Amino acid sequence: MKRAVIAFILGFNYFVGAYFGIVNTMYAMLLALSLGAILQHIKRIKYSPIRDFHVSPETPPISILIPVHNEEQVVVRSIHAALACDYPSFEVIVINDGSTDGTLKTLIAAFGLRKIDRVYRTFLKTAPLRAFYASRMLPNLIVIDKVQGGKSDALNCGINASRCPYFCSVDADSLLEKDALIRVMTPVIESSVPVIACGGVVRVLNGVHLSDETTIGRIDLSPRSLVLFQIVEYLRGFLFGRVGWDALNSLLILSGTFSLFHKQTVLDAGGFKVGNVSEDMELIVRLHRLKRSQKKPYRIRFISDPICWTEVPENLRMLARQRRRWHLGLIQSLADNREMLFNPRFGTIGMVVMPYYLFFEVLGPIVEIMGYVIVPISWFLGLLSVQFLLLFFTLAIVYGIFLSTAGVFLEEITYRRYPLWRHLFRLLWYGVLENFGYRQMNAFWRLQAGFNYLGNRLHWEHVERKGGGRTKEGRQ
Amino acid sequence: MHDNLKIIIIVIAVAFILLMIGVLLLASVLRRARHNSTYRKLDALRREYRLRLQQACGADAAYDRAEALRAEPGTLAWRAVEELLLGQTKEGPCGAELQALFRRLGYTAYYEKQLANRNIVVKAAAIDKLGWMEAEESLPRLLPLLDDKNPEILAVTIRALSRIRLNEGLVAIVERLPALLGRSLVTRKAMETALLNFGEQAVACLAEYHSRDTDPWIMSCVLETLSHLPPDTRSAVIALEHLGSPNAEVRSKALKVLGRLGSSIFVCFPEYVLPLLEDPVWFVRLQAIKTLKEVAGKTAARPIGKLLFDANWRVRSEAAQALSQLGDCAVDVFLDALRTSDVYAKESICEEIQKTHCIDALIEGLDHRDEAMRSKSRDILRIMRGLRFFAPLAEFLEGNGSERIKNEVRRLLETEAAA
Repeated sequence: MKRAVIAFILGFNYFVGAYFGIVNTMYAMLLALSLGAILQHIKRIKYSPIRDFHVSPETPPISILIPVHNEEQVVVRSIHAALACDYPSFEVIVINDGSTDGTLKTLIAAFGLRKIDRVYRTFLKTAPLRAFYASRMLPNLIVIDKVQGGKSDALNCGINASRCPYFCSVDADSLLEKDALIRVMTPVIESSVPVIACGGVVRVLNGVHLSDETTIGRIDLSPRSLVLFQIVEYLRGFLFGRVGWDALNSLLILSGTFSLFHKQTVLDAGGFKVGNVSEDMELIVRLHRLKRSQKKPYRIRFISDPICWTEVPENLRMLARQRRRWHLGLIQSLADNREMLFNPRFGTIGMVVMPYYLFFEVLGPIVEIMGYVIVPISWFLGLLSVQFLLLFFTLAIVYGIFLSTAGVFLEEITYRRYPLWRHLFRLLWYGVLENFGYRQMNAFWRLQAGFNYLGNRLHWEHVERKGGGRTKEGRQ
Repeated sequence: MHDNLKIIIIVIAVAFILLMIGVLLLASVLRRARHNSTYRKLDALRREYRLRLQQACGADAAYDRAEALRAEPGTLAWRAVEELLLGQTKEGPCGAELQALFRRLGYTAYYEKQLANRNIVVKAAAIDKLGWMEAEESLPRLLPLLDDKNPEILAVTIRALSRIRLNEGLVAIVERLPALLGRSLVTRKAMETALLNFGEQAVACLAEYHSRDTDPWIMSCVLETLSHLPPDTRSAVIALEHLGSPNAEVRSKALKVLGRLGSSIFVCFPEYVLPLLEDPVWFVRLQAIKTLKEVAGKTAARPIGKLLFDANWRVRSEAAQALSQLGDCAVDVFLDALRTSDVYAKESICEEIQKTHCIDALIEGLDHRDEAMRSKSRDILRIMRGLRFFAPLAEFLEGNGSERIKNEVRRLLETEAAA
C-alpha cells in the first residue's frame, strides 16, 4: 500500500513538472506572438481608415444589445454611453430581464419612455415579453420588458428585436468609448474573409473619473487591492492572452461584456444557449463548429484598440461568484461541444485550442491545488529535498510574476492608459503580489466551479453592481 | 547526482526568469521615461512651430514660411512640423499652399523614398502620409502600387489616391476594379468608401467605365458608389440602363441610384420604377419602395400600398414605413389595408403608425372638425385596438389631453375589449 502511495506521489511529481513545463511554454509562445501582433497593430492604427468608415454610408448598421437585470444603479449611464457612440447608424436595444428592483422605472423616467406595440418575430425562442418602450427624443432607443429568462435569453430576445445585420452585446455595468463601435467594426469591413465576430478590450472602470455621466475622463487606479489585482489580470488576459490566440486565428473566448457578432450567423447557430452560465464562450465555440462544419472561410477576431470599461467586483464574495461562474461556463461549453475535442474536422480549434482549454484551464486548478498538497507530502515522506521543494515553488511564483509583469509591460509599450508613474509602479507591484494569495484563491474558486459542475449546481451567480467610476464630484 | 542536476536546472530557470522580469521592469520604466521626455519636447516644439507658422503666415513669400518651419529629417522638430501641418490637412482638403509646403520641406521626397521599404507597415504608413499630404507629384510612384499583391498596401494606396483626388488616380483604380475586387484583395465596402472621396469627378469616370464592363459584381459596386455621389444625369442614364439587368443586386443598386437622384432629374419618371415593385427578388422590391417614395412622392401611395401584403416581412415593413412618411395621403391606403384579413400586413402598418408617431395625429383626429377625418381616425384606431396595438391609447388616458378625446378613446377601448 505504502509503495503504491509513494509511486503515485512520485508519478504525480513528474506529472506536475511536465505539466508546468508545457503550460509555461504555451504561455511564453502566446506572449511572444502577442508582443509581435500588438506592436504591428499599434503601427497600423496610424493609417487605419477609421475616419473614412466613420462617415461612410457603407458602414453596416449595428444593434447594441444591453441585457439588464436589477441594474438600476448603473443602467442609465451605460445607455447614455452607448447612445453617445460615434457611429453612422445604430440602435440601442435594452432588454429588462425581469428586474425586481426599480430598473424599469428608472429607465422610463430617464429617457421619457412610452409604451409602444411592436412587431416581434420569434426567430429564437425566449421567455414571454411584457412590453416595448420607445423614446420620443431618442428614436434609436428601444427598451423591452420581459419575464426573467437569464442573460442568454435576454440577448436572444434582443436579437429577435434587432433590425441590423450586426449586433454588439454590452453589459449593463459597462461604458463604451465613443469610437469603440467603429473600431470593432473595422476588421469586418476590411477583411476579405467574412468576420463573424469581433471582440475588443475590456478595462476596469473602478477608480476611473468620468468627465460627465458617460465619458471617461481622468484615468486613475482604485485604492482597493482586489481591484488592482483584477486590473493586472485583465491586462494579462486581454493584451497577451487574446491577442496571442487571435494571431493564431484560434480565439475561443470573446468577452460578452463587449463583442460584435454577425446576426445571421448567430441565428444560424441557434443564438445564445439558455442555461449556460458563460454564454459568450459557448456561442463562440458553436460558431466555430458551425462554420467548420460548413467548410466556409471565416474569422473571429480580437483587436486591442476598441475599449469598453466595466465595473469589477470589489469584495471577495462577489469576485468568487464571478470566477466560479466563468469557470463553470468554460466547463459547460467544453462539455457541450465535446465531440469537437481532438476532432481533426475542426482543425486547430479541435486539435489545439480546445485541448489546451481542457488540460490547462479546466484541469489547471485541480493540478495546482493538488500540487499544493502533494508536493509538501513528498517532502514529508522524504521523496523531495527541501532545496528542490523551495526552488520549485519559487520557480512557479517567479514565472507567475513574469507573466503579470509582461502584461503590464505590453500595456506600457502600447496604449499606456494609466498615465502616472505611480500607476505603473503600483501595477507592477500588484503583479508581484497577486502570486501570493490572489492566484491561489482563484484556483480554489475554479476548483469549486468544477465541483459545482459535477454536483449539477449550474445556476447563475449574480454579481451586484455599485456604479463604480467617479464623476467630477468624486462620487465612487 | 540526478537530484543535483534537477536543482541546477531549476536554479538556472529561476535565474533566467528573474532576469527576464528585471528586463521587463527596466524596459517599462525606461520606456515610460523616454516617452515622457519625448512628448514633453514634442509638445514644446509643436507650440514653437505653431507660433512660427502663425508669424510666417504674415510673410509674403511661401519661401519664408518654408524656412520658418524647416527641420532636419528624422528629428523631433521634423515630426512636430509634420504633425502640425497634417493636423491642418485633416481638418479639410489640403490647399495648394500646404501641398507646396510639404514639398519644400522635404516630406514628400522623404516618404516617396520610404515607398521602396520592404516592411509593409513602414511602406503603408508612407503611402498614407502621401495621401494626407495630397502629394499630386507622387502620383507616378503611387500608381504602380495598385498592382501590389499585398491587400494592405492596395487598400492604403486606394485611400491615398482618393485623398489626392486626381483623375489619373481615379482612372487607374477604376481600370483595375476587376483585379482589385475579383481577387478579393480589397473589400467592396472599403473600395466604395474610398471612391466616394473623389466626389463628382468619379461620376464621369464610372460612367465611362460602365460601358466596358458587364461583370454584375463590379457593376453593383459602381452603382453603389454612384448612389452616394451628387445627383447627375449620367448616373441616371446608367441606372436606367441597368434596371432590366438579369442580376438582382444590379437592379437593386440601379434603383438606389434613382432614389438618390429623387425627382430632381427629369428621367426619373415613376413608370421606370413601378414594374420593379413586382420583381421576384425581395430586396429589389424593397429598394423599389424606397426609390418610388423619393421619385413619386404622394402619388406613390397606392402602388406602395400593394406591397403591404408582400410575402416578405421586410418588404411589408418598408412599405408601411414609406406610407407612414407620406402623411395624410396614406390614410386611405392604410384603412383599406387594415380592413383586409392579412394579419401580418396589418401588424406592420400598426407598428409603423406607432413608430412614426402618426398615432398622435390619429388620436387628435378623433376630435377633428371634418367628420370624414374623424371617422377614418376612429376606424384605424379601432382596428389597431383589435390587433392589440393600443399602448399609446391607454397612455393617452393617463395624460393631460382633452377630455372629449379621452372619452372617445375610452369608448373605443371598451367597445373593442367587449368585442
